[in-house]
Amino acid sequence: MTVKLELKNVTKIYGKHKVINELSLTVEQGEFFVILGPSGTGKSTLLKMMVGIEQPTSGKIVIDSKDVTRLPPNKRNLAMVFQNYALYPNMNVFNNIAFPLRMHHRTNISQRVREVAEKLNISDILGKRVNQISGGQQQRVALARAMVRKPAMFLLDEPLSNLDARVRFSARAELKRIQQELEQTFVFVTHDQKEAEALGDRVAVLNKGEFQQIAPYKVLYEDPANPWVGDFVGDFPMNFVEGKGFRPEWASVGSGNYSMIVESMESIGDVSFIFGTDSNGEHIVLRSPEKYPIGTTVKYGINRFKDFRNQY
Amino acid sequence: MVSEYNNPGNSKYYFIIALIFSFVILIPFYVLVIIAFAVPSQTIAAYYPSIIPTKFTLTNLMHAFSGYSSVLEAAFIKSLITATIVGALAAFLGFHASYGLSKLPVRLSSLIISVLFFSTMIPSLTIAIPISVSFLKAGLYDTALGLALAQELVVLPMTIFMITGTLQTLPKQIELQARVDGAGFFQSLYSVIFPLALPGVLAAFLLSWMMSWDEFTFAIILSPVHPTLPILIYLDSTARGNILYASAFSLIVTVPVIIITMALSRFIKGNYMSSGLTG
Repeated sequence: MTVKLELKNVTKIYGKHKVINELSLTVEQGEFFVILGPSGTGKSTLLKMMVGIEQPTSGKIVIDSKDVTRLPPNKRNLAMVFQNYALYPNMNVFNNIAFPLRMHHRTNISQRVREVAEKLNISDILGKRVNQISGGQQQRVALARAMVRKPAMFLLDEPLSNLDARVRFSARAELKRIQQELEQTFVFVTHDQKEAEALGDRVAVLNKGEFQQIAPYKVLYEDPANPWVGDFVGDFPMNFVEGKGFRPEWASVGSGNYSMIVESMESIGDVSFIFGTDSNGEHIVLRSPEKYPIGTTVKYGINRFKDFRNQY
Repeated sequence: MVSEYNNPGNSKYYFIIALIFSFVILIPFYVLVIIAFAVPSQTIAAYYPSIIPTKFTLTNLMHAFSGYSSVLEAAFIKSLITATIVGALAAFLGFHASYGLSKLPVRLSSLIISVLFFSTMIPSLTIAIPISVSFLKAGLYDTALGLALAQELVVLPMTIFMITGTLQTLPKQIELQARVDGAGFFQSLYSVIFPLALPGVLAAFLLSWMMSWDEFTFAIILSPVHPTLPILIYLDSTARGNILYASAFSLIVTVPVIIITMALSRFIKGNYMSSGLTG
């Protein structure tokens, strides 16, 4: 079974506000596809249209060569995990996981629930109420409920953002492992670069209702399609000098044709990131093993850059 | 979900306030019980009625029952049926109306609810008479169903207001999640939304039930031939001045309210609703 998700010129307009503008996209079977963007750019709206909670104003949504644009969510065979997990508070963990099976009139419910619970390490909390378990466990329960009926595809709306930093890290690794085990398609929406980098086979960068670039994270980082992507992707925004975009590690500090005045510094282990402004008022971030006092002028050379001169 | 009022210093004051309120409510009830069970010489005939009576008697109750047993039973049953219809109808109509209202923007739904309250601003007496004329034609006059329909007018806006409030506190994602998990519209409405709204629905049921139970104006105009309990008490005891029988009857009116409140109260403590959700 190959499940392919296609968006064809999908547009969503709320009142006069165009949230999604003529988006087209193909997600391949078994792909971990991440949609990355700042908040308020229509990521969740896009996901809601895929799952069928919202209808596109125009355009088509195709799953497995079948036009599902006008189908309600319960006819699409997709699973979704919301940011707040949306566990049913009146049911215990077991019944939460069993709910999709009951709605689809499946048999062997108990056996299937236990199987999935086993896989996610939540067998011991099946009898508990959902308010008696931790955030990490709630996230697993939500995932188990999504997995239990073997849907064609998983849609996840920032499912890790409510977790503590420590739990988030392990939950992220586990999510990737599960996706690889299931060999199923995951569409994952996030504003967190680290998640996009760690999880995504491909990452679509969304801004103002349009895809800026769709590529593996490494490509986004090293070869951004436009200055906006360069600025948005990465721990630090890309530096732009004379239309040349460069990452901190692409410059050598100490000597060179360029210079800036140091304004602040951040040391992480052996490396220091030096923040400064050049004579044109551009903010620059450089990386160096040495420390430079605030107020000094630093010379640097650009060893490698992405040419934006024609777009700038 | 931890309440900010939970610190021990505050709870002392809450306890005192609760105690005062309990007195205000319980003392009249206590007096009622005393008059119903004590011998007349210690209550109404005494110059200073004693707060702690020393002689108990069932004579008042027995007289009340033996004198009126068939009328009383009929009135009790009529009241029970009417109140239950009012409560059930309020819960059913209220839940569905509120679900619709909860889908509207809050500003619009609040406007609609305040318009609904207009009907309760008109004195019951002025609409009871035209209603009785229509009911006579429709064959609903003096029936429990007819009376219940009239009382529903008073009760429904409040019911809708309460249940809409409950529904608006539910996260939208719960319903969407149910749809994604394969529930159809009605399945998600009845197997997910309804159980979550249950505390509000039951509270609405209880309130409507109680409002109907001691409702007077509609009852006396729309159902005078076979009266409900409050009307019977008014006509046969209070109006004729027998306070002993009246208190015995009042006790009969009060006890079912206490029973139904206690039976439903544990479902109405709804703080389990908001749990299991973050964000």
